[in-house]
Amino acid sequence: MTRRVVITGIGAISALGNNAAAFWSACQAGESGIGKITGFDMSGIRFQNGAQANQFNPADHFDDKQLIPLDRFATMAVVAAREALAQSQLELTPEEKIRAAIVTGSCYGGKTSEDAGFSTLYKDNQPRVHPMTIPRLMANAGASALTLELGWQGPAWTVSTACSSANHAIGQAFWLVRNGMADVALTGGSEAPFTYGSLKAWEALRVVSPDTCRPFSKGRGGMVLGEGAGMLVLETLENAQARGANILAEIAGFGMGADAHHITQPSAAGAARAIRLALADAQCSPDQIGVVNAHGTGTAANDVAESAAIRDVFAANLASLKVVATKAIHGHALGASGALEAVATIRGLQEQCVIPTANFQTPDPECDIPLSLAHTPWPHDAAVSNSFAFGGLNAVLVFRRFED
Amino acid sequence: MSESVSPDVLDRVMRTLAETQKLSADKVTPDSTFEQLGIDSLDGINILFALENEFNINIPDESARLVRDVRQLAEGVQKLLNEKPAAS
Repeated sequence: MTRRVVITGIGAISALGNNAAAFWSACQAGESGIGKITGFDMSGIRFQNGAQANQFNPADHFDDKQLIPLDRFATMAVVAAREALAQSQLELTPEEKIRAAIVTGSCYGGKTSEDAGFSTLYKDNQPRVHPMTIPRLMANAGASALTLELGWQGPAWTVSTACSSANHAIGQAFWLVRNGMADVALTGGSEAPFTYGSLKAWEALRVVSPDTCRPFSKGRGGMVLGEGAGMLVLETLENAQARGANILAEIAGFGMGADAHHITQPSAAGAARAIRLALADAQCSPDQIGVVNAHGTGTAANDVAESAAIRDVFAANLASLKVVATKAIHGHALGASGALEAVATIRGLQEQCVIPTANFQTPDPECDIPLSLAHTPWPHDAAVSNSFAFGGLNAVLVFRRFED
Repeated sequence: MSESVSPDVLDRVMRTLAETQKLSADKVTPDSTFEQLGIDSLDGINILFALENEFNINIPDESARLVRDVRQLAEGVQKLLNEKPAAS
């Protein structure tokens, strides 16, 4: 059984604000949410900038009692999901809730709680940690919190594949609904990676830019960490039409694979293979794709390998393609990145436009791709969104403009 | 970068590199290039980490990126040691 799957709600928490409208508005303007990292003594860290979701305060969305078992990353997943559900106006009967799936992505899980709890042991020599440390730090805390809030009882789990987590989650949720294992799904990713220990770990890996994120630009200095959440409501086309829902876009294909190449260096061949698998899954040819939302981390290695993969797959239609790279706007929100990029891709399909690549300075001959540099009308029927994780785990989604 | 490198610093750099890379010490000479020693970017990060601990220095990303052989590495370490305030 193969069914068409559509998106009827989107939600986003990011450095640009607490909803998808604020996020998309910044995307259109090419406005970067990257700024000085606050909340830590940064004097001993080589980089100073990040894309923190400074407007997001969990206490604005939950009461004190609700917050006891919830890490910041889980509250972000819930608040983004509330926005997506409100937009979709989806209301489920008890029977329908049994066939409603939740698949979330997160790289780290509740790192904020883990870092805080363990530092009381190691640094303050305290004899015990908070009893909710485990429920807060488990990577599935966002998915579990959503099942509790919504009473959904269908398949629910969390995918953790570093920077590809959200794309792997969305892809699996899509396949569940398409293949009849669930009729609706909430899916996306959330991440709150700003802890002192985590910042030191990124510093040690020497991939973080000393200033800002400049995807595909010559002289780019590396990635910049971000935080946030993106969530989508997926349902069958039949379901959405029967209840008169407003359909934002269609999710048409998913492809994944492993580079089997290197723990941190990406492989262009692995990336190209995942893109081709996603296109095949969508029954879509490369020339039907008008936009690629790139992984585009702004590191030396990713952007060169990804450019080669894009040039390989889309060799015949580079002239009618635009590549969009939004991490200069929302930062690299790790397990949430793919979901935020999905929101940007869906909004671009709805408005038939492309958006600027913020912070871009000079073309890099090693990244010879048709990069979008301005907010401009761009008719396109389908778009690809790439995520390539450390460890060589690739996940690519294909979205389609929805027409009745 | 052409600091004159003390024999002690050069020796400790070579020993740290050999230990990090699990190479026998006689494989590493001042003229060995990273390419000859099979050192990739991830190995390089591990070597910088070991050198920071060995010499109690902080090696900036931008200067580390340009280093291609053992002598340049030792010169970079020597430069950072020379810039370090005298131990109190």
